[in-house]
Amino acid sequence: MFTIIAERINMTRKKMRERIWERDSEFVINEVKNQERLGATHIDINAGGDPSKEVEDMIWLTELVSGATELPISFDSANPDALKAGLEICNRPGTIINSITGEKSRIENTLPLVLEYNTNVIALTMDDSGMPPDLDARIKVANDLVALMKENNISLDRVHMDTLVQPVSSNPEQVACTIGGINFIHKNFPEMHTMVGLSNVSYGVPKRIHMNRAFLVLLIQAGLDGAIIDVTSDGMMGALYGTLALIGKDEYCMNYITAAREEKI
Amino acid sequence: MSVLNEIAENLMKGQAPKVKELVQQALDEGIEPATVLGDGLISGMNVIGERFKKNEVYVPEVLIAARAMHAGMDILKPALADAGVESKGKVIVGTVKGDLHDIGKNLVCMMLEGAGFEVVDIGIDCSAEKFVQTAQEKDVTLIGMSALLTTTMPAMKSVIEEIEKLGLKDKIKTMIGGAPVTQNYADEIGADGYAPDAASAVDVAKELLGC
Repeated sequence: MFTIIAERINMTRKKMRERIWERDSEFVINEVKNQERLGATHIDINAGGDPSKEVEDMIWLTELVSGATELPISFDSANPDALKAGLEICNRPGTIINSITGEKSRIENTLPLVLEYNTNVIALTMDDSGMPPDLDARIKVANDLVALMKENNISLDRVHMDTLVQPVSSNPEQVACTIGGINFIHKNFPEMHTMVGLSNVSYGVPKRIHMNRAFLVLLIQAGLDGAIIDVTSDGMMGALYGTLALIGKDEYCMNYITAAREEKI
Repeated sequence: MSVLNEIAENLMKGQAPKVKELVQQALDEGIEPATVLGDGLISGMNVIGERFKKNEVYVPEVLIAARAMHAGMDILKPALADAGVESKGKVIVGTVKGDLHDIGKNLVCMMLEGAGFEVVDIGIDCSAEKFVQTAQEKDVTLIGMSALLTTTMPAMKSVIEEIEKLGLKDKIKTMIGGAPVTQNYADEIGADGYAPDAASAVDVAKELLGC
């Protein structure tokens, strides 16, 4: 199954932040239902609009979102108190902690929660030496994180490894590194999942959706099986369903045809 | 078109080798280095800055314009030094502690250099000590701070507190920026200036340094 984490409930987005601070339930519920309708497998919740309010905002959002859908949640936070607050309210099968990294503090804060709540986890291939400058650096952290998971008896199929997307506008040489990282994991740890935050690639260029869609296709070809995306973005889900059908992950193109019939694409 | 206009036009198109050639030509024609800088290079970066503010040009276009600026400066720097021309002022720019985002910071550095400032880029994940110590070492009177996470914004306050602690609030001014940063936040933490984008950062720097 391709993991589709719907990204819109994110308080770093100005409009979302304002509505959430207004406690506009209807607005948020609409976003949840729309994202579900368009094919999300998970709803991401990022309550990081204001660090001092993150826990209370996470609580409000989790209660609202978990009531509006049966889909599992992806809890998007580096704050263990916020993660815990959300997980206490909703920890259905398939719940994801977004994310852990190879950084010491992130491991200390997040690993215990993955273990305690038995969740899946998105793992970013960066550590205390900062943003990985190339493919080798990503591979090194990937290997370290795999070892960490194994040490802690976390089966690799609970892990979604993210090889870090940089904008093509400023770091064009990194695009191949991200793709190479996904391919490395696909080949060497086939039981593990992969993940990217797609939209980062198009920061700084116009008409971002074209770049985002093109990147998704390249990544899926390299073995990607999950992404954090805006499912409402024009043509995004169409590109996703089409690519999955083309690489043989959609027998008889049934998902594609159904999505088309249901006007989801 | 005058050679100075040609310099600006080619800079805006990111034509680095051409800008280099034209700067040399301008100097050979006897144009004052300061004029080549101001009416050629800076003038071109200025237009890029205005267009960037309005989303008429995009990040890669700013990058190639900056590259063309550097190419021109390779030729111009010695001539400026000989003529005793000084920069508009020195600015330290860095991303705060705990934050690794650097694209915006890099764009600010480019735009400030493009406007004639001397920029000391101290990189990412910079502690308050690093900001302030570098300012003292290099005799700099303006610190620019970037943060892209709501969780790292408080580090900006730490830098300002460090400046106050050392009794340097009159001597060192601060300006802040980054996607989650606002004028309100700048007022709240006592920053002297705020800019919503790299091009506006130039305007704020000019205002704060009085040039």
